[in-house]
Amino acid sequence: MRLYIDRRVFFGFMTSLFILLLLGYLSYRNNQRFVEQRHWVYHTTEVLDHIERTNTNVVRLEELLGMYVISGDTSYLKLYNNELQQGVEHYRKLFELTADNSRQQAIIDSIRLAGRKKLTIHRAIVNARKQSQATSDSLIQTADNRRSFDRLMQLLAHLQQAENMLLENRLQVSESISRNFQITFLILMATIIALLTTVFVIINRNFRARMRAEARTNQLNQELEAFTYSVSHDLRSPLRSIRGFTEVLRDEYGNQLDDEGRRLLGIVMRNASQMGQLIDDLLDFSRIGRKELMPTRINVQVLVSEIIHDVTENGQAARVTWDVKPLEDMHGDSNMIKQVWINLLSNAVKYSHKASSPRVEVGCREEQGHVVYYVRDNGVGFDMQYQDKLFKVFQRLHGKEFEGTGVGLALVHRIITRHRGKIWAESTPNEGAVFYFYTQL
Amino acid sequence: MDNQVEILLIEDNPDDAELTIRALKKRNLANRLLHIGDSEEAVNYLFEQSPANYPKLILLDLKMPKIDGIQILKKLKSDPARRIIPVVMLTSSKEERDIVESYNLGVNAYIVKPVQFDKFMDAVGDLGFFWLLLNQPAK
Repeated sequence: MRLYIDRRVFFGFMTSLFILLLLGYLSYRNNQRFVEQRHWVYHTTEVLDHIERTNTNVVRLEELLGMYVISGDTSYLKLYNNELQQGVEHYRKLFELTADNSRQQAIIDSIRLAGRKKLTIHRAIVNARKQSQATSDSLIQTADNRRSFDRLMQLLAHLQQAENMLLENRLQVSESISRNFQITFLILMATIIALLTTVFVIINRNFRARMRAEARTNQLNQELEAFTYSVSHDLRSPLRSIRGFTEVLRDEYGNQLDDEGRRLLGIVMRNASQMGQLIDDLLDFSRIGRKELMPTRINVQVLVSEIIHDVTENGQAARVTWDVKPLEDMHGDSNMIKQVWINLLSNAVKYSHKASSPRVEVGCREEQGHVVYYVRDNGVGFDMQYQDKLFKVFQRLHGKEFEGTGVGLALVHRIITRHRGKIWAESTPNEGAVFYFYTQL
Repeated sequence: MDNQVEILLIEDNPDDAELTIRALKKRNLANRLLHIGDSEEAVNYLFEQSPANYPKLILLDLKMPKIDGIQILKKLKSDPARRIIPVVMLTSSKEERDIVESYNLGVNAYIVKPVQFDKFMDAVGDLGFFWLLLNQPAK
């Protein structure tokens, strides 16, 4: 695909697209990180929760032991055991949850040791109570017992503090992820907006330039056509005099000239006639550009047979064999299309009249949604290497052996172009030529 | 009245005028032809004549310096006495605009000068024949 838009516009679009994709990716990644971070925050709160529970456990255990020692009621022992189980559970959980954090794990290990020590003391107290209350009482009061309790509480507080710091840390990270993303997002958005605005301005400017160029082209075309018309028109007047008076000369003084004189006069007259034809063709050519197209349905079959009839009547196509296939109707300006067919058919006749049995075939076929008409002759043909010149004004591919001004095909080409169609030709020298065309009105 | 002008040819191009006169001569229609090559002079001439001396036919060219054909046509057709004189526009202009304007002003015929001389001769000859011999003028 050819690139018709400004390079900068293309670059701007591509960059914007890239930035959008980048933005998409960053959004996605940010979301992942955010979710991950939240998970860790949640994780931390879970740990804190367990620490809190463990704390409660330790205190409760101490209380229950005290109750048991005082009352001797074994139901307190049951409660104690329950509480102990819960405590162990919480401990296990803490151990699990802090698997990633070696420092926390160290503290937890200390808690374990302290806990074990505490339990040993407690067991001793329980056993003592089974014997005598006084003994257990005094054991509870020992500094050792109190110290081990304090130690546990201290360790738990330590753990909690560390975990709180971790929580705060993680919250901050979460916030900074969010903030960074917002900043990046805003920057990229601003960049895109700037890019698109620039691109828009460029596109607008390009369009304006294009419209100006179009207007200028139209104006130039109009001027050119007006010029062509007036020149052709003004040329006709002296030409009329030339032709008229050379004819008068021939009629009234021809017998006073010798053969050579008459031959020379003939040359002058022939050229004047040629010039007249040229001017007429040029006038037609310029008129086609100026005239408004009046599209209508055209019965091509009837049109072609009319033209063939006229051409044959004029004696030009006496020896031509016509092969006219069924022709579909078409849409176009009837005068202009008539001109196209007249030119193509008379060309076919003209360039094949030297053949021993001139033959012209006319038909149409469907090709890629278009109705393509063709005119084929078996005449002198043309050299395909000059096919670019075929439809140009004043470009002829044959010499004086075939009459012509070099405007006919240019005219046809112009009409077809105005009908948004295409015309082209194929040929082999001395084996004839085919002209194809279609319109899209 | 042998100096009665039958055809008044108003044409500034002497060569075109000569060819027209030759064509009429060939058909023997140019015996009483007057050619005026200056449009201003032609107008003066026309408005000097008394009704008895009006030409039977005026051949008028469109594009002339000073006063052009359209203006002469307008003057003629707006004059109550002179509007009955048949005026044939004999010009090289094929412009729709010129044709419409001429008819609007009441021209009797509009002929585009053919480039090919023989056709030109035929056209002028036919014209002369029609207006002088075939057509019934007003008295």
